[in-house]
Amino acid sequence: MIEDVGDASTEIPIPNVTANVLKKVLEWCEHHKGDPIAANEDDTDARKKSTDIDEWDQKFMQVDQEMLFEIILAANYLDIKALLEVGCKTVANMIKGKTPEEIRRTFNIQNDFTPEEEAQIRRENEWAED
Amino acid sequence: MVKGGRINPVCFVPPEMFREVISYIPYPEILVPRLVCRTWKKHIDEYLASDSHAYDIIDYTTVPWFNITISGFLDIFRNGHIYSLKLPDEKSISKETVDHMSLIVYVVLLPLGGFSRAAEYPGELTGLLEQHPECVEYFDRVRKGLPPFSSDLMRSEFVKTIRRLEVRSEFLAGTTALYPVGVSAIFDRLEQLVLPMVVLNAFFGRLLSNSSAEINFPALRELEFITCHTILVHSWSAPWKYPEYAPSRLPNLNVLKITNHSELVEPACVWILRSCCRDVMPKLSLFKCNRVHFYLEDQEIIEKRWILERNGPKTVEIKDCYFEDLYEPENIVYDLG
Repeated sequence: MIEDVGDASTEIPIPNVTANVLKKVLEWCEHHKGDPIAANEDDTDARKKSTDIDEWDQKFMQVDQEMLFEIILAANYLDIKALLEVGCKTVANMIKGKTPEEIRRTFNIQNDFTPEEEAQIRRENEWAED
Repeated sequence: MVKGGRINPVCFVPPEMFREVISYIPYPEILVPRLVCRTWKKHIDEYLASDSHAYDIIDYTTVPWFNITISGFLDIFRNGHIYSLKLPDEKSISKETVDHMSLIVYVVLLPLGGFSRAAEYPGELTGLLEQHPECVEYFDRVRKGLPPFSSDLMRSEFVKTIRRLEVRSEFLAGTTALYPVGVSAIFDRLEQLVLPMVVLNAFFGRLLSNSSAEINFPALRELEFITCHTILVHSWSAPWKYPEYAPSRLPNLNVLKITNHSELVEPACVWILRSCCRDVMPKLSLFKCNRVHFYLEDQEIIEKRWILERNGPKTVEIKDCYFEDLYEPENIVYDLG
């Protein structure tokens, strides 16, 4: 982003990120400023296999859902891959291991399937269920 | 940056971001949130059908098929990323290799539903399909995400096909999902073993960890491991817990390797003995376990040798029973038959 702007004295507009969210993003960046940067895409792929999140990041992500998603969107907008990854892993962990009903409650989502549709999907999933 | 727009009121993030989130959920666990709502189902189905989860695709087209490493497979199965497997072009491989690939497809990919992605490479799999056209329905069902078998008849036909595939090599039964770090030393040493062993290891491990047993274990139970020479007992997340699903026959087993899990000795022996005498009790005499290797980390295992001696049928022959240090590589012996 800075490279896009060119002149280091030029203001960088970030209209999609509110002050509160930016404050959180900066807090995360400050904590992780010494972290090594992933060398290539392969590293990213390897990380994808795990939803492990270090303790500090777990605590950092203990925010309400609105803030969590705002952080993810800000990380995406600001192209902070590592923060985006932590955010997405956090949400993935909120989904994993839950039943569909528990997921709906977690994210306040309404079930818009008809009973027949739901039964059909359950049949499709049956082979993979515990 | 992932392209996206405003927050989706249902998916709470732009669809592209939602896919980024679900990319951290392994297959087949990812099937569960398909039931949340129509939007989630749509996005997950699109994700599974797309190449956006390309990291799941294991490209083995550039490596010799017989040298696929066990660690490579373990990575796949441990993480549940069995969704995609790019197979070599059948024209460039030998008949023998095709047979081994068939084994993979039938024994591993299909029961796990992984064929749904592999089926997107029809040119590479046509040969396999033509060899076993009776399994086309199976492919079709799995590809559609349906239970693999529509009836008992279909399952029995499938099992017959599998039984025609001779399992030429030994196999390694055990977990791929939960094996302790210490045992990884064994896997490192086993990297050059031939593929079927790896495949069957994954077969047991993933099926057990996915609890897909009702669908798949009956097929396993009817398999005959004609040329299986060695079994490595190394984890609880293994078939030992399910003696009813032991293969029908293990007539040529002659080496039983047991790692540091002393508590495994007894159930593993039960499992193996069931395999050796499932059909007719007199076949017990076929069980000639010539050597039992105990890889020692836990000295208590020594005390467990009585299980073999006391509880085993009288016809069991054990010529040697000795102990080796798991962490002394020169002591690790591979019996490839």
